[in-house]
Amino acid sequence: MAEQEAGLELKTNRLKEQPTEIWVDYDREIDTFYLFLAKQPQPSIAHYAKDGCYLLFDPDSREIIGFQIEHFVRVFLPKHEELQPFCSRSKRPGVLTRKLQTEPLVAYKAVRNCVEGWAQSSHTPLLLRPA
Amino acid sequence: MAALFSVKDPRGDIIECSKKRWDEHICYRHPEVRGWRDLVVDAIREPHCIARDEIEPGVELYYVQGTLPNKYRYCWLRVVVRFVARGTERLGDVVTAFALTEIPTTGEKVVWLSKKRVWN
Repeated sequence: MAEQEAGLELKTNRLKEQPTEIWVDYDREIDTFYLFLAKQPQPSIAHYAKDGCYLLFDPDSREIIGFQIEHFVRVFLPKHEELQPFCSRSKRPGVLTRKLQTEPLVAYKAVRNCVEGWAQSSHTPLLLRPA
Repeated sequence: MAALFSVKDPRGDIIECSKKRWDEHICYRHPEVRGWRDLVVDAIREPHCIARDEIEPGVELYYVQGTLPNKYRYCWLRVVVRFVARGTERLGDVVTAFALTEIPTTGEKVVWLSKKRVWN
């Protein structure tokens, strides 16, 4: 309980390493982009950062292992210059998704650059409040 | 498409989830949710609050805290539902569900609050 009252901090070690595996996906139904630093999605807890972006962390290690970005095409992309190379001229989600999936490392670096500041900012320290 | 479950929320709206959506989208992208089907149903039936997505029309978010097991027990469960008009009524479809630390303070507007809930 003392740990919960003191809050829990997320770890960012994985974000500092060159990833060996990246899984990316886009859910057109809800305009949401997913990225895991693994070959497939992992069990995680989402922590809201900013601009529709959640940091996904491992519930045991508290290590950030991915991102989930809501309103990705509608809101997130237009706000971030780093991701403009992934926008097709028509900005159709299907075109966008294929490019992100065929170049996952480039996509990861671009998304990481967008959220890098947040991972170290005051948004991140966690306090999981008991029910 | 066959519904995996169909449940009525506290406002009387019917919300469904297809087996395909549950297996191929929700549990695929959030594997921790795989064993939480009954918890998702309960979250819709008796949420602590319902919020409306201020960007995506027709999308509402059902939140409940303290029902998830083990290492997720302090988290909120968020169930995302998209409503579509069906004649004079509306029908909701579950599009995703996952555990989160806190309810976002921006981009959502609370539209329903449980009277049973004692907030932190």
